[in-house]
Amino acid sequence: MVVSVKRLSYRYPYSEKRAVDHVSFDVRRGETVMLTGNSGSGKSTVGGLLSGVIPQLYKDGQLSGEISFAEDGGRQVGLVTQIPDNQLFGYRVEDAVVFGMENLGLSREEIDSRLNRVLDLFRIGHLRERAVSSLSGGQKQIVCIASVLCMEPDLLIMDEPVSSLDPAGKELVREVLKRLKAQGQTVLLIDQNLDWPAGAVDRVIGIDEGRIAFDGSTEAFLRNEALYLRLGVTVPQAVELYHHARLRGDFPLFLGLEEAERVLSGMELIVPEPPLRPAEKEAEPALAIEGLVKDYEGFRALKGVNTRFMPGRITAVLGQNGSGKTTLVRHLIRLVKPTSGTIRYRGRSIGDKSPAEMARSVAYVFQHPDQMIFEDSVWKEVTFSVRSMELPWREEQVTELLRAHGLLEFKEAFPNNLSMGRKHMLTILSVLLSDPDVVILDEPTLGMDRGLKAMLADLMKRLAGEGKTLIVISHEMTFVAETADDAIVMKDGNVLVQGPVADVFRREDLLDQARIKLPEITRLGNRLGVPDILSIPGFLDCLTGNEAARKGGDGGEV
Amino acid sequence: MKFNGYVNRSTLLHRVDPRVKISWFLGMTILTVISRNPYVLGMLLAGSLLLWTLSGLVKEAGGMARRLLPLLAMAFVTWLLIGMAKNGGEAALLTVGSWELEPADLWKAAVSACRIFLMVSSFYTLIMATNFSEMIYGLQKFRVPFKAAFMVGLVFQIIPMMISEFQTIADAQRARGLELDKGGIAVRIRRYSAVLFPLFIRTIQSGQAIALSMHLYGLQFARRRSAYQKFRISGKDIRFAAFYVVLWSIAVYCGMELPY
Repeated sequence: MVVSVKRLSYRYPYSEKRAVDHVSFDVRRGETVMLTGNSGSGKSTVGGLLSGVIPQLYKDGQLSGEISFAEDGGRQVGLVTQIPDNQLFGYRVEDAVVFGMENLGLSREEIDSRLNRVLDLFRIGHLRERAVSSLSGGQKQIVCIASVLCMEPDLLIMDEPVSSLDPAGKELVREVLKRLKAQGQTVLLIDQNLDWPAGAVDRVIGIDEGRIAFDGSTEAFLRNEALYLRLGVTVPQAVELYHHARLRGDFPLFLGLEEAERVLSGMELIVPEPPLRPAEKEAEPALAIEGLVKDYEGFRALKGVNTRFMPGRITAVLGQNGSGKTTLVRHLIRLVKPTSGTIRYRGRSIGDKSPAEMARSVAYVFQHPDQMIFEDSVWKEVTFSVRSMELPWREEQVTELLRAHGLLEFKEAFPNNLSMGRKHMLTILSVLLSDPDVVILDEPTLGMDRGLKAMLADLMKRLAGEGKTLIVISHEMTFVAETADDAIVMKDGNVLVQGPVADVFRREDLLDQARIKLPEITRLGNRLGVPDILSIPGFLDCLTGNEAARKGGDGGEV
Repeated sequence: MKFNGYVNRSTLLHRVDPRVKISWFLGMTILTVISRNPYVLGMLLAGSLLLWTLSGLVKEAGGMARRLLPLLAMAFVTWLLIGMAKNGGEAALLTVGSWELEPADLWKAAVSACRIFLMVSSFYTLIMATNFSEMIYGLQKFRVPFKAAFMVGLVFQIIPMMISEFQTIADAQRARGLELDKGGIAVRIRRYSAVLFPLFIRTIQSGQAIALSMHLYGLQFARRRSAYQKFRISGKDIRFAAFYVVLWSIAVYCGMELPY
């Protein structure tokens, strides 16, 4: 046993409710355990308590219960936080990795040995002399994990380590997690997404409003649909498919892509007819970009981009960090001035407009809500844009908007105290009251649990239905596949491919170049010879003619 | 002026030991502060130009000079006006009422601007070629307590992040329709509160993140740390230091022999 937690409770100062409420569990040596639950369920507080951050750093709360570690020499817990930029000290990778070991007063020889071991383990020796600031998000997170692992903690806690990473970064961290597991490192992973690490997690502890709701194997957790839905946990799409499919027939269990392929390959699947597309109307694009070039000092960020954004459609802009996505969309609201090329809004050049003027028609919600939130109440925050622009608004309108998106009960709350997902929803709502024609959302699902994501998807579809133009930058391909109509894939400042999502997803060669991985359900469909599957309902349609499906009834096990 | 001036290259100056670079900066600063002699300042400037050229940092130094230009112009004009207000008894080049522009006034104004440039550029040269990890190491070797050295390093790490954060927050509020670039000063100041408050919150969050990080990495200033990176004063460092000591000695000699 590495750590044993007994009846652990914690209440934050000035809070009426316990964030952690009589929690008990053990973590055995070599295990990879995932602590999961809704936003604000208390899972990060448990991480804080185990690492000693609470109460050593954050004092004054009410703590009771017991945490005991196997070693007598005090707690040996390492913690990796969500944002590596905030955690790493040191200019070069080597400086950042050795920082903790220097603090421990280790000899130079010992530091050298541990440093080389961890660089080899994570295969990042080539980054040793690189400036931390020049690394990609995924690389930074791996350096962060390396720097903590060098201190040889008995228990390594990772708190949402991929939440701010692009798909390539997620892949890197997933690989590292597997290597840690192979090394026998005990890991406690705190996350509300079980889709990316599922294969590497031995055990799941579900936490709901501060209490343990589940403690068991990953398989048992994934089998329990009602539970993971209640806890707001995103699971692999294969698992979701199984739970939907078993409602239609007696399906053997599959909880991963390979298993799903094995089970479904023996079944007759209906290849869907290509969707009927109405004849292309010569509709006027809301925004049209021609030959857009943007140069920064010694660096060309956009290399002659031509594209357009149509009203009534949701367009996803995809690509790795640094591919030019954000630079492209910032041009649409004049936050960035082009080096050359033109941008037209409703047929007219926007060259003479200021960002604030453009904001009346084109709303842009930034990736980090903390960079936007300003007011002292949710109510004031949501009305910020309309008040800034001196536009009319009604109280009922605000009340309805907040109610429909789960924020009415927080209307008097200090916005900065909301969970990340709710803050994100708040900043999105704050631009909607001004009734913009175009809405740009940069990574809107960041920090959102599945309930909030579903709410956001509905909101986006409703706005598109009203004829508005929606542009979304997202690394979350499942969300994109289920929500967007069109996609633009960018790489190195160029548009690699653009068009309807299904068409773009068929170009796997180009997506590989952009290091974009298709959603699991699309990959499964492709492997089984049913292309153009973007969502679970889409896949279920292919099962309709299946023998198993015809049997009907609920043959699954929960 | 851009504060995050570290240039991530391996130039002659980058390869010099941090202790030698810090000493060079201190030497330049002391000489600039104590000397008003144009010959001395001219030699210091020539030394800096030579260093930038040999290190391939001319472009970066040029960028810094361009950004400093308004400040230098202001300093020049201010000293010129002060000089014109005082009558030194020389033949006036220009007379406006009781104000007389004498050749010495021009020299003084130029010298003042030059001193400001040298002070700022010495600091900038140091940070162009010394990252914050090296800075901490160098300061520690000069017996600066680790706590103080670490704080200096932290400032170099955080200030660029905060500048970038300020720009992003301003853009985020512009994107929500806040007009920050138009209107009178009072209006703009009021509007900028929508930028400063989130920046304040983000600064607090960064402070908390740093405190958390220090805790996670077991940083305790009272405890003795070890150091992995070892810098050794090499022959190159000695030659670098010797060159500047000789140059400065000549400058000081010239300053005494050629009084202005």
